[in-house]
Amino acid sequence: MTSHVGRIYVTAITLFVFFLTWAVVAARPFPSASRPTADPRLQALVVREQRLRRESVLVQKLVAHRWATYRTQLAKRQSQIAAAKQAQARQAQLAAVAAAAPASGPSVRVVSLPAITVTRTS
Amino acid sequence: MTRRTFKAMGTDIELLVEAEKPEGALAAAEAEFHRLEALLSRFRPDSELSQLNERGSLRAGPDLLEVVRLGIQARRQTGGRFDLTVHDAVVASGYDRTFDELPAEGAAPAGGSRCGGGVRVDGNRIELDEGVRLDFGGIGKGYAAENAATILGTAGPCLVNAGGDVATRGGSWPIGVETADGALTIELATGGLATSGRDRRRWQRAGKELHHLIDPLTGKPAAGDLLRATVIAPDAIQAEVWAKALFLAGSHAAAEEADAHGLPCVLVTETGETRLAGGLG
Repeated sequence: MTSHVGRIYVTAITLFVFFLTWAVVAARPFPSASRPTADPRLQALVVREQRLRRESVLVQKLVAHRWATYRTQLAKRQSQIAAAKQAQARQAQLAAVAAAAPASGPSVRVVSLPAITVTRTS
Repeated sequence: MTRRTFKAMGTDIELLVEAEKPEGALAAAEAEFHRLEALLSRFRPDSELSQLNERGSLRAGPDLLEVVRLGIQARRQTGGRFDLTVHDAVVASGYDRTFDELPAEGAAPAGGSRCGGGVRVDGNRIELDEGVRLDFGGIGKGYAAENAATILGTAGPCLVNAGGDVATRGGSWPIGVETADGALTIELATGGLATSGRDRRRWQRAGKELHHLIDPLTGKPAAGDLLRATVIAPDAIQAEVWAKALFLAGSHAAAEEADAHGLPCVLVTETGETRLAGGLG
């Protein structure tokens, strides 16, 4: 009897240990040495994506800086053009006034010398 | 100094030059007057000007083009007091042939005529509005005097006097100006001088005295208080133009305008007053 009960206990414990071991092994609590690594092409794409994101941020910053510079220069140029147009208009006005009057230049004075020739109504 | 006188453009021309052998230059200057007279006279039916007046449009030579350009410019500068388009008005007032052929007396003139029509220069083509004809009486002699002075000036300092329109090149020239009190001598070192007035080139029609200075506003001989205006300007062309413009303005406005523009001038009124303006005197 004792021997029979003992065998049953031993068998039951053996079965329990067996299934426990099976469950533990099935759960794979430790990384397997033979587990395959990630795809290197995928890793390269990830790296490339990250690099492109960084570059994109840099380019956006650069474009923003250049746009600001362009707007500043455009405003400055437009003010220069407006000033030049105003100066041109002033010069045209002065030229029109100057054109309306004969150019200065004749050198003349009244003298008491005898005349060498005479002007009269032509 | 060498002097040569001859007749051209209906007036007496006088050439003065200080040079040792000026004969060639004198002959060339005289030839220039005759050449320009053949081109610019309204009394010659074969002149370029007559052809333009007849056709209303002409592909013109450089001299006709230049005189027309100067005339258009002068019209603008003087506010229309100088105007090339007075031809018909001059003819209507009786000045229809050379002054030497003009009878002193005659029938009443046809009256005033339209002035101020369009004159356009496009390249070397001159176009006139319909019915518009040009007269270079107020600019042709000044233009010829300047051209002749340029030629004569190659020989030495010179003066060209085309019936009162004087051009100079170099030298210093005492020139007599008729005033109400006798002659006034003006020494001209550079520039030109011209006199416009109604004391010569005048005639009578139906007992009324007429003259050749047409007011473009009325199309009739001007009726201001000036007898004569002498103007000194940078060249004989401008002097001739402004002499007529100031004559038409009348003594008071002429003196103000001469002062404003810095145009030395001698104004003689019909009442016998002589006024110097424009910085002269």
